[in-house]
Amino acid sequence: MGWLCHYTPVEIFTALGYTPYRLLGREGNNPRAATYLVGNLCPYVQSCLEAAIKQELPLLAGVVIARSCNAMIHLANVWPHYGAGGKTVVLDVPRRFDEDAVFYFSQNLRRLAAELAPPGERQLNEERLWAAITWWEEQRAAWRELLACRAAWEDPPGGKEIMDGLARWQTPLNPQEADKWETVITRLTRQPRVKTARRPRLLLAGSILPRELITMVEECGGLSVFEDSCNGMRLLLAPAARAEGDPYLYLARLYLGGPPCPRMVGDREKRRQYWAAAVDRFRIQGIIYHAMKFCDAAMYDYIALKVFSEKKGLPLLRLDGDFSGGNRGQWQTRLEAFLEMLGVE
Amino acid sequence: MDIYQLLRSHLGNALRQRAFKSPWTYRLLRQAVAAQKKHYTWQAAHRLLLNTIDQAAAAFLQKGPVVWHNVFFPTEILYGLGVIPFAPEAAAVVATGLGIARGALRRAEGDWVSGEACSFHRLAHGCDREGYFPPPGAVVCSSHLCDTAPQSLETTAAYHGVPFYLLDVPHRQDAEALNYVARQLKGITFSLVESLRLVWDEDRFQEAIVNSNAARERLLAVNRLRQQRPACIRGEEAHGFIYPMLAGFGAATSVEVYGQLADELDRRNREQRRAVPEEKARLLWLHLRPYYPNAIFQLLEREAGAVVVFEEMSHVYWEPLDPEKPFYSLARKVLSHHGLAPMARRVEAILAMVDAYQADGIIHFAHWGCRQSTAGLRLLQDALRERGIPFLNLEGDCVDQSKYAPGATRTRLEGFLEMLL
Repeated sequence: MGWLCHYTPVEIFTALGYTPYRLLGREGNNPRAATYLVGNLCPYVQSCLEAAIKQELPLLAGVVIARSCNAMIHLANVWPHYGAGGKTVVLDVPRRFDEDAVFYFSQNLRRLAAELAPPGERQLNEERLWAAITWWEEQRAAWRELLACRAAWEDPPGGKEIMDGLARWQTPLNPQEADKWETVITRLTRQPRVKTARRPRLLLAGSILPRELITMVEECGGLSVFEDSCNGMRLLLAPAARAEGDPYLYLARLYLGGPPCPRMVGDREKRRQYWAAAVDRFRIQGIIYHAMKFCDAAMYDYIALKVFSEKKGLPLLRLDGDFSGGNRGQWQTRLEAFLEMLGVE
Repeated sequence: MDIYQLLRSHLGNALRQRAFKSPWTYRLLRQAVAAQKKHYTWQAAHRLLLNTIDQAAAAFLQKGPVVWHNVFFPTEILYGLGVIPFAPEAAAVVATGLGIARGALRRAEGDWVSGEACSFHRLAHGCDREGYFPPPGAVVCSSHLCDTAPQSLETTAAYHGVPFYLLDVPHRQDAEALNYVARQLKGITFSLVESLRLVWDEDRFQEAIVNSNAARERLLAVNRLRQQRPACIRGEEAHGFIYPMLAGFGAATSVEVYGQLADELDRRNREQRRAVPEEKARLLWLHLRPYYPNAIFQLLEREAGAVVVFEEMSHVYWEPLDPEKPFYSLARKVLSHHGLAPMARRVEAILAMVDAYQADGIIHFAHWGCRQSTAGLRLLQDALRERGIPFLNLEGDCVDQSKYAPGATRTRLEGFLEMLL
């Protein structure tokens, strides 16, 4: 079952017997998607549509599209017509985190479970859902532990390794592959580190971070130790107490209460606190913001981050990207200058 | 007469920001506009302008708490609370007319507001930071239809250090969504009462709901009159009456304006006075129009006789409000917007408008940065093609004149008209 936005509770898929598969886009331009969506719309969304049109996705039973931003709303409109086959289910995700929003989201999740249930199985068994919640939470906890190592270690696993691992973790092709992940994460944690020259510790932020950006940052001599993105730390949510007996309420609170995406506009203070905690804990020396073209939330998120970094006295570099794998020349020049300023020779 | 020319004459370069805060500006302006009543083709437009001047005076002179809102937030709440509503997106249109847009856009760019963002919000940002807008006491914003508005208005609230209240609007229209929105509306209302130290007045709140219903009835009457053939008001003139739709529901003045417009249209219809000498085609206009001087309507309506008989923004999409259940009915109104939810709903509404107004073709003005309106056009185009309705997607910018290409615009319009006439 395909999914895109990190506010999509994959636990429901697992409990229903689907293997969750995240659509992470593709490299290259998206000429066919651009004929169905306008050019000045989120390139990640365009890229996912292009992958579907070009039949580059594995066979999916369907796709759940969270209406989390304008681009996703439009993707949900065109996907049933031009996207991959299978069912298209849309999910409304609140932009607030309060009791009303949690309750409303929990109702949507219950409906989502009913819509995804195979014919004949009207209601998802709550025990199965709790089991799936536990399974996912164990996986996320292992990832969080691995990522937290980077706070203390001088030579932690690089951002590229972590992001590659996370990408594979989000795109298993069958349940057996998904089950193996705990060992993979543990292996990554135990992997012997090669002592390298001291590199500036960086926070990379943005809506969704392209793989090639992290690769380039590390090739140029930087060290990504915190990825504030929906394919990075935000994806791993945050530990939550199981205060509720209702799994849907629990999931609603878990997802809405996680590290906030820039779309959670009423929660900007929480986002500032999130950055502040990351900067202190991970001993951040510089910030790189990947501004996804045409992402309205990222445009204003960058302004908030700029104010934050100025207050903290942290150097900040903004790199604009269209998720196509392009811009390499411009990125490299600006990255080299930025890292030189941070002491990379 | 050109009201902007008059305004510009009162707001000389060096004194601009100060002039906005001087009671003399509004007194002089009001007197000048009031004295020229006969020069207005539509008395309803004259009334609307006087009301707008009064509202601007109240906001700029801080005669009460000023609450900024986006144009999709239900303003009945603000009028019901007795605060002064201020819509920065609408004020950006005025800034364009006053010729301060270029400097304000430059300021926004200097503050890192991306050029990819909607220029209404970029311009509003620049105007605010340059001191052209009245500072808010609080900011409210709904999340539906536009992703930029909540981001931009939250940034403004943080800049001014005032509370920001987000109305989160889902896309479903079921009972759960209705409850969710209604509870938020109630919460926002009483949070405003508390944070702005207002006195809750049930009668005033009820009056705003009653006014909203009355304005709706009169706007429906206006729209019914505009369905008649031949048209008796040009689209360019009718576009001037969108403001109450975006920022005036709940105010008594909107009832007056729409009432007066309905009377004038009715009279013109009876007198068989036409919008243009020969109506050769009828057009439906989607989204907004450019607000700087341009030749689009001149070419369409006066030169080619293709009258814009209706604009999407004037579509009445909601049912009357229930004064007994104000928050529920306002929630229903918000959730009823035809631009919300699947694109099929907007397509259906547009096709219904085509039928009701007997439109021969459609022009969509694709405002740069408005992803809400433009991103789903392919589905609309497919539906129109099936019905054989000619469609033109005219790209441009509503407030940034530097994006206007007169030659290219004329070529595209002429091509479309050739196909249509």
